[in-house]
Amino acid sequence: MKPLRRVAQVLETEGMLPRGRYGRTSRAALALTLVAASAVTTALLPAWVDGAIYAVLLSGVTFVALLCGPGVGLIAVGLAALFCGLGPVPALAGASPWAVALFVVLGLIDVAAITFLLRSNARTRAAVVRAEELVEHLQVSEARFRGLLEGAPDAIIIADAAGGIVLLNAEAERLFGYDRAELLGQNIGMLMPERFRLRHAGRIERYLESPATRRMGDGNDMFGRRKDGSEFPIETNLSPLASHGEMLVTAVVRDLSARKEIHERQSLLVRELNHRVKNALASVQSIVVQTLRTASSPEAFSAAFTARIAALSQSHDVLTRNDWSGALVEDIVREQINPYGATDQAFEIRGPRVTLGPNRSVTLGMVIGELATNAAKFGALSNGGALAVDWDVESDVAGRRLRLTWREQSLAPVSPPLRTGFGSRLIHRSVAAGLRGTAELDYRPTGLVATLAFPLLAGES
Amino acid sequence: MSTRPSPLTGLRILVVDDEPLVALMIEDLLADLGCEVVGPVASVADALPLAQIAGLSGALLDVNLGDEVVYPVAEVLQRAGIPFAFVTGYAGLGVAPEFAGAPVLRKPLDIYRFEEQVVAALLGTHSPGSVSLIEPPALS
Repeated sequence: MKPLRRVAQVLETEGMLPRGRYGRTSRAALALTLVAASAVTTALLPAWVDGAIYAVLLSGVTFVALLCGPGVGLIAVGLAALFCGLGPVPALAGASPWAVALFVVLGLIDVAAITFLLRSNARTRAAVVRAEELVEHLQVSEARFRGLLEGAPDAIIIADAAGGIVLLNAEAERLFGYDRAELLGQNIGMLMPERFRLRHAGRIERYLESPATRRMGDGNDMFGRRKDGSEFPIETNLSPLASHGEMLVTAVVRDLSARKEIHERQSLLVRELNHRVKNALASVQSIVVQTLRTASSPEAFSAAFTARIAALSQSHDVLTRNDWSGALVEDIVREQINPYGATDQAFEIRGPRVTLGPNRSVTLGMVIGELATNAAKFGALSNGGALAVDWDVESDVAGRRLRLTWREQSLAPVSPPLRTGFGSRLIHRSVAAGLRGTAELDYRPTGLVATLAFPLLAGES
Repeated sequence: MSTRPSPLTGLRILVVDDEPLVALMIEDLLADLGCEVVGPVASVADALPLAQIAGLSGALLDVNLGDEVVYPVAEVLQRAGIPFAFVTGYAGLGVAPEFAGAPVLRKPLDIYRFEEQVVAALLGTHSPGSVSLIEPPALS
């Protein structure tokens, strides 16, 4: 059924039949209908149309050859010649054998011409199909390239040997603040600070003489220049690109601003940490020297020194929990008196939420620690007494002040060891120097009442 | 601490340090040597008026005062020709180039050589700006 399939194929490619919808049976029926139509037309011709029958048969042969191919076309020529020779039609009665021979020759020429036409048509058609496929492939490839280019997180700029910008992506527009049209054809030097432009001139030609994928600037700090004139740190990677016999250079530019910021922040943190460590060491030294001055024995030194180092350490613990941003007064107080059983009912800690800066938190912690150690050794906490710590914020024309009261309620008369010695000096001086405030230590028969008052700084609330 | 008279006895020395415990220690060390301590203060604003009082013989200045640096105080002292030394935890790194020649006492302080160091810094041949770094003693 090859010829019938061919009819259907031709009709399909010509758009006369919907593609691939008709089976072999429909195709065969179509071909038979065409041949029958030709024969019927011939049979119906009146006798007076002398010789026209050959023309009709020839057009039938043409159609059959066109639709079913050269092989079937030749068969059609034979059948038509036989039809003429048998003479079933009145017009053919007594047909000359020369006329039949002429018909056969013309039919063969016809089939040959159609064969040539079909072949050349098939070649053209195949070329068109290949071209269409190629275009589609290019479109897919182009879309991928565009997607890759425009979706890239880095700025990509392609320039020719003279530095003329040939292509750039959306990130390049965003990074440098230009519209694409403003950059295309311009020299890539306009994206650099002026002080680099002269040095850069001729660099691209030299680069293209020995091209390799490499980083630009060899680790030197490089800067880009935005449309508004501002500069920002960049890292640039270059790669050669051959295009239409011309060498281009692809520059992939990455904004380093964020990385630099992180680096600077890290350096700052390290410096800050170093400062704190040195401060802590200097504080420890001071505690050693001062404790040694007032200690009556190695045991007394050890006890007082340990308590003070613990107070310093606990202050740091509170700050560490808050990333050293500061600490709540309540947390500072609790951290210092917790070791002495702050969960007992005898303790009362009350005050509004107030946050102190990191250094001032340490200072307040040391002062409270000194008061707590003293209370545990000589005061209310040594004889089962009560302790109340409360604070409040007062506002006046000079600003806001924090007033904290430490009130011990002793069950037995207490001696006032804080009146002299390092402990009381530490409290007074720390509040004065570290908190810019005042400390009052009032020894009452019922126990120590300490009042700390200091201004709150901006940001402390 | 020392029983013999110190060359520092009777000098008025300004102490600037934002770490209360350290300020307290320096104050005590100077008081032991018979000095009259001015301060201690913890900020530039508090230190500037004290840097200009009559009869000031010298100053010990902590470089980092929390959010600020002590240099404005050092400038005032330099102009008045009053000797001073920086006290800093940063070995040589913490002092600005314009004061690179000023004597530096390192934290933590070497308290057993404190007198010697302060004498060298404030009474020695130094004038502010001359090069002298007081090295800590070698470990033995």
